[in-house]
Amino acid sequence: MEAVKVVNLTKRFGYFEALKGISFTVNEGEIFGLIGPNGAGKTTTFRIIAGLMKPTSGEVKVFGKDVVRETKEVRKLISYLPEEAGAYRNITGFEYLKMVAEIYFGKGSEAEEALELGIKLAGLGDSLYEKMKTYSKGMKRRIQVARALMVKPRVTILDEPTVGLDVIYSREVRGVVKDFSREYGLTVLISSHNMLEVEDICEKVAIINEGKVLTEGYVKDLLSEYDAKNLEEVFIRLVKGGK
Amino acid sequence: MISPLIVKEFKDLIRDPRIWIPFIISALIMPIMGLVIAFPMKSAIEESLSGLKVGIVNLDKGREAVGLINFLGGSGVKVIDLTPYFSNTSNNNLIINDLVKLVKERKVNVDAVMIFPRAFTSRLAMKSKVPLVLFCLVREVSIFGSPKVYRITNLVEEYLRSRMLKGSSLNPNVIMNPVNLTSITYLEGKGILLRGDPQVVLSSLGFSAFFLPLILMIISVSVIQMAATSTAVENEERTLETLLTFPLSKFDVLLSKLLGSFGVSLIGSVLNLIGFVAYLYIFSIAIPSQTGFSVNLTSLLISGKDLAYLIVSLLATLFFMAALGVIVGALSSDVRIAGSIVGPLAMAVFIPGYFISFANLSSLSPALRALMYSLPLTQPIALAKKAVTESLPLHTPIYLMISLAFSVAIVALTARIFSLETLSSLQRRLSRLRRRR
Repeated sequence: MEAVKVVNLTKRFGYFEALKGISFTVNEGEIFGLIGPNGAGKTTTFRIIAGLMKPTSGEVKVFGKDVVRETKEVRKLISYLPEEAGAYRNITGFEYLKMVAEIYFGKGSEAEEALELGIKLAGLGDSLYEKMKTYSKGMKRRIQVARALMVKPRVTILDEPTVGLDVIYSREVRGVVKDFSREYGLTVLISSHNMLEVEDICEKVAIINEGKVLTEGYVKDLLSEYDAKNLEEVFIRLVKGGK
Repeated sequence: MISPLIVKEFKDLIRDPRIWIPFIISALIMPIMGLVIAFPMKSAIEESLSGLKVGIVNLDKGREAVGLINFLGGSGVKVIDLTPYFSNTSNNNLIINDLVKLVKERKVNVDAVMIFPRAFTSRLAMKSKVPLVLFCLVREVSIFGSPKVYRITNLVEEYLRSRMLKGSSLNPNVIMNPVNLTSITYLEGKGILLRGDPQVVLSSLGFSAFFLPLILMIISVSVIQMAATSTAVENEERTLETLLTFPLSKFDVLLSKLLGSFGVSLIGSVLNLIGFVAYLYIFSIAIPSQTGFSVNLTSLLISGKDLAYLIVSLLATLFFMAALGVIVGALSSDVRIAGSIVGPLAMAVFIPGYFISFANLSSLSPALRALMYSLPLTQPIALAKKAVTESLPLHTPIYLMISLAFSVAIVALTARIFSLETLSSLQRRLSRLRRRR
């Protein structure tokens, strides 16, 4: 089943065209990577899928629901982690996760389960009960990743999820996302400018540059198609114009 | 579903020292202000009643001049005879010039000097206006500096009045107050008779109309500021993007913000009110009122039901202020921009309220009057004016509902334009404007 379908998506900001008719499809349960350099259009694409921005033209559907016309329904299906997600200074990590669980599930056992999962995913120990203004950048990111996954959304959108994290925790996050997708059959969309990182976690990718999708496919297929050792080489060849 | 978000807003604000410290400071500052004003005022009055030093230049040397000097001495004024300094002159201008020299040389230390010209006793004997020169020394400018002068002139007038009426059957007090006036004021709207000077009664009744905008202004500035800051912080600290992807409508997000800020602002408002009442209390006990002015008069005239309506109206106005703050914050990319908009806005929103304070509501057309009773910015003042002279209209609950609906409607309207795109578009326009400058 198609989890996310993007067709001829364009987005203009005044005279600047951030997306120039991109299309790609993500199937249910896949971990899909949108990779490209900074300013390629990854965040804009994710914001449109998350219903935060309206497309100039084109169509985006999440499990068959149009993100413009059925935004409220789409929001129930997705969980979005922005690239620069801040934290409330005077709220503890625990209170934040509890708030998110209650917003999604009310006050029942489902909310308690989500909270338990969030606590486990954040892995902050006693620091979870301290105000978030005391957290390091990495700790804030851990809370945000936990927040995005704990509600077990059908589609998780993670914009540069490992930005600001050290090597060990970056690896840990990638592991959590992989296991999570496998265990719960969740669809995950990840963006990163670190192509090697994406290669480690994604089955399928779309390479985007200057608002255009240069290619889309399974990682293995792309590597063999472009006779490349890694996705970075694939990207360089595509940008330079030769296979 | 929005209750967890309201709780978050409340906790985030109430735990922030930047929010509660200003409330506490302003609550503490108001009684201190009362003390700061009342203390010099009280000591100025006390000083005028005791320790008043008056220099005397007695060129008249007649019976009446001596009589007045003795009367002053007998009334607690310290009299210092400066006549020996001026034995060679009778010209007032020359005496004043010499007095200035004496003061400069610090040979004279008095609060005022009274010069009795030679004709003083003879003019008083003829029951004509008597000549007298009062030379006042001002050592520093103070609002409360005049009681000393009043004390001297009152004593002089009292003595002269009694001397001029001596031998007649007239009573000086009767001449001063020839009418034994019994004033009765009838409040037509309430059918109440009030005994007392109509001027005092009216000023007491009008007090609410001026007092209320003042309290509202003090509280509302902090409410707008806090609501705007808490919403702008979401943009500045990058929490808004996540918030907007939760399964909540934009209206829910803004409403939670509004209710959370409103809850905290209520606590702050109570603190502010306590501070303000303490200010008034300190002021009133320091300066015992001689005018019969009474704050309680207003409250006694308002029925319990009308008072409840007034409180709801005040809360509705605070809610509106919080809504304005949320709107400003929602459309500001950072706290600094929100702050620079909130300052002038907080002042501007009181213009309609002050119009109502001074306007005669009955002279307005029925439609305009209904509007004034319904708008959150004018409603509490209009209702307060009405409540002290007559009972509030039966349809007051409808006005209150309209006022609340007005706040909710502007939040709903803002929710329609509130988005990341609106914010980035506003930011782009702002940077273009800055580049042009």
